[in-house]
Amino acid sequence: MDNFWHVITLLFSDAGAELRYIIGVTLTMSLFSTTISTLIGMPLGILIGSREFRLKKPLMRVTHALMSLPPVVAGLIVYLILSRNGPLGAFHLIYSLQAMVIAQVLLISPIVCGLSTSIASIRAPQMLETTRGFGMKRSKEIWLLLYESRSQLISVLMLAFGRSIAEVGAVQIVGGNIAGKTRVMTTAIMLETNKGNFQYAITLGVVLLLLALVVNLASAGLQEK
Amino acid sequence: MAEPLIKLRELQKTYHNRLVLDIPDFSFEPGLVYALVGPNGSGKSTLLRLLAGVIRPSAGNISHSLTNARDIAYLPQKPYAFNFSVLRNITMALPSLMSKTAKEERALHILKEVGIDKLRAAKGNRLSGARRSGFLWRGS
Repeated sequence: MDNFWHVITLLFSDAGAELRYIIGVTLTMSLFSTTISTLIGMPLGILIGSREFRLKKPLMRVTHALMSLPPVVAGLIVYLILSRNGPLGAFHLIYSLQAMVIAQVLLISPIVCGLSTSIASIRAPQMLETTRGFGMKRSKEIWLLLYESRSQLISVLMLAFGRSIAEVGAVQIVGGNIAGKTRVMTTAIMLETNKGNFQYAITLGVVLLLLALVVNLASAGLQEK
Repeated sequence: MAEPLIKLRELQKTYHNRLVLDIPDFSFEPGLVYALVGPNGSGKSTLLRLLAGVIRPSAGNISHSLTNARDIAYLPQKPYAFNFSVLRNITMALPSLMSKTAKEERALHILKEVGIDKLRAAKGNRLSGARRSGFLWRGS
């Protein structure tokens, strides 16, 4: 309880400027990476799950394999691509918020895609047989499928956000944990723990938990609608 | 002799390289009632799904002399009811050319016919399978 009040006082005091900045960077990174991963993974997953085509099974296997891509490997890939001598080195994106978002999109998109595929595969056959039997336009099918699966898809969205906000390996490699630029809650917790500054590390941990709680409460509210 | 309503030519359907339906030539004539009879797995449902455009043939073609392809409707054995009101489930199944008011009037009429007009605001997916089939069948 002492820690909780310490966090609250620190958040609203002058000494809490760094903490507020870290929270800002963490939320910006997580919101961007979750949004982009959802925009890529969800429609793709719904399409794969609701359609029958020759390469469906191999595509699903590749997606499932990518779902367990280790974060440090994703970080390393993005690092090699964005570093000065890499193919996209000219854009000077390494050690920036954009690089962290790119690494997270590489990590999270397959998870969103794979889970959306599974959700669509369960619901689509019965639903599409009925809508097509009625002669409904095929362009409407995807929207209806999204609407009918919204509760499960919100859970996928929350999982993606949770993965993003809690991720440390990839963002450490491509972000570099630079104070006032790319330092996020997880990399800050790691740094403070290594320094033996456990009080501050616990403070950051409590804030991270509170953020996760707020987001989950919001998602529960959406699911009940 | 009147033109056939639906003509099937060299119609074939394969699933995972297995031929499940093969109809070289057949016509559905107007004014006649057809019954599909056959053992399990003989392709009855596949043929109905092909006729309604739910699935596409692997080979051959289906042509019809109907003015509107929507005149062919198909209700599966286990129909899907959406998480909308019963009324909206029926209006969704009605032809898109109808106006919103006409669709609602028709849907209300259908609900009265089936005897579940009191349930028009209930969620379609909460009804029993038999009730679902009842109102969706009239809607289709």
